[in-house]
Amino acid sequence: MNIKNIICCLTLMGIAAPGINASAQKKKTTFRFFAEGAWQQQINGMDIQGAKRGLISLPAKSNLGLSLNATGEKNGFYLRFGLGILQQPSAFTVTDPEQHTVLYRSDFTNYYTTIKVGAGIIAKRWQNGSRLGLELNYTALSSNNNKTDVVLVKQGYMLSGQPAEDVRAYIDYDYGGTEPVDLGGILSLFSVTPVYQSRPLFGRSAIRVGLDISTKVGANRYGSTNAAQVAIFKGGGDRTIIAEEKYFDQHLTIGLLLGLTF
Amino acid sequence: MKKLILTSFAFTGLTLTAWIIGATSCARNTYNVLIKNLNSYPVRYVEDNVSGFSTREVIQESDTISYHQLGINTQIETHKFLTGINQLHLGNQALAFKPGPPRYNFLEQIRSFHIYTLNDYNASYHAGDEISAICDFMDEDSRNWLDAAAYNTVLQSMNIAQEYFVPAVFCRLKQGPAVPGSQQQFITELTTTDGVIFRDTTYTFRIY
Repeated sequence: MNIKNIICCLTLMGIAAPGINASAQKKKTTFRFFAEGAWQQQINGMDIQGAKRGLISLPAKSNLGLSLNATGEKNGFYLRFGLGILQQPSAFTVTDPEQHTVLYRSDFTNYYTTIKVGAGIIAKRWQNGSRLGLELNYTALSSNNNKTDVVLVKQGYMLSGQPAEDVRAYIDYDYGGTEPVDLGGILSLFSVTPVYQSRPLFGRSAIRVGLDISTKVGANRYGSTNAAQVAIFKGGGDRTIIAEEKYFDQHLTIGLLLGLTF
Repeated sequence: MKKLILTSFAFTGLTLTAWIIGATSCARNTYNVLIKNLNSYPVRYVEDNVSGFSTREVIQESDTISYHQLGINTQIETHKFLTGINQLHLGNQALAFKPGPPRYNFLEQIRSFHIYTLNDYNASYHAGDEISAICDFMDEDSRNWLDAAAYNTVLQSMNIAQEYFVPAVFCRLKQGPAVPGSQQQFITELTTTDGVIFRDTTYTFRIY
């Protein structure tokens, strides 16, 4: 099992253990629906092979998500199931290591369909009906809006007194990475989410506020959704590689969830 | 404790499901390929007409060789960039089940190959002249000798989708030099369909 997932489980045990006894003694299963909006800040460069030498720079952007969910609770334990969409903007810039000029710039916004399943426990329940839960969620992402491209950045030079051009940079990138080419195209998000749910404020409706810490695994290339590799050649007819770099973008996001039950 | 165990089991089950699906994905390694450079050098080419076997022995600098036995070998070296790797998708470390053969995606196609002499060769070919017309090129697929025009047609017909790329160009001279034992040196030139030109110069050797 992946080390990230082990950490997730251990985190759950550490946070949840003190609150187990606080869960209410309910026998009946209760079902609720809720709509949930998500704002996630990407935290880039988490991979060990991430951008280090300055050829590739990555602006950390923000994701936006919206989902409709159903949840069923019994004895302080609950499951949730949701369908939604996730908007994820991504970008990178390739810089010439010698002239410090931008060789290539790219950005792309991907839209994923999300299916989220999760399990949670109610760690604390207050007298007025508000409560604090801790969820572990698995989200499967799918997109038909991926982008894969190979770009050869060319530069001119003089060859025997005649103008010629040669490849200065090889740039190969992949946004999304969830093409259903094979089963490896599945992309997964695992998240740990403490959620506070208020007492009923608008009739039966309550507000849910959550802190979403998620890690992304699984795609059809390097285990990342967005990946690029860059090789810079000496140029002028000399294909000696003077700098090389790969990146695998955000494996971690931290975000805010805002929901309304109905 | 029961709730905690249930929660952990649910989560672990989901994780394992995704892991197994990842493991069953056996994509083979794929590479993008760019030309790196040419490496041209003379060889002694000896063909056995009876057995059909031939040998190629690299000629050292300043060696002397008969033009009947001379071959110019031009190795096309490449950069290979790994673009897709066969592995499990959780953790980027483990290999999945047995991978298939690697797949190469050639980003450049060859348009033409030429050879020039750096020194005066004979009455018809002076220093700087192209000598492709007095060379035979070997089609490595059919093992037939082709003239320059036919060989360039073969080069142009190569298709990226066929995952095929000529690793080397091999040619031999049909005429000898005007002065037996004279020092000779050649320039090979490969042009891609994008107009990028690669050149290499052989070292000096003597031909009679």
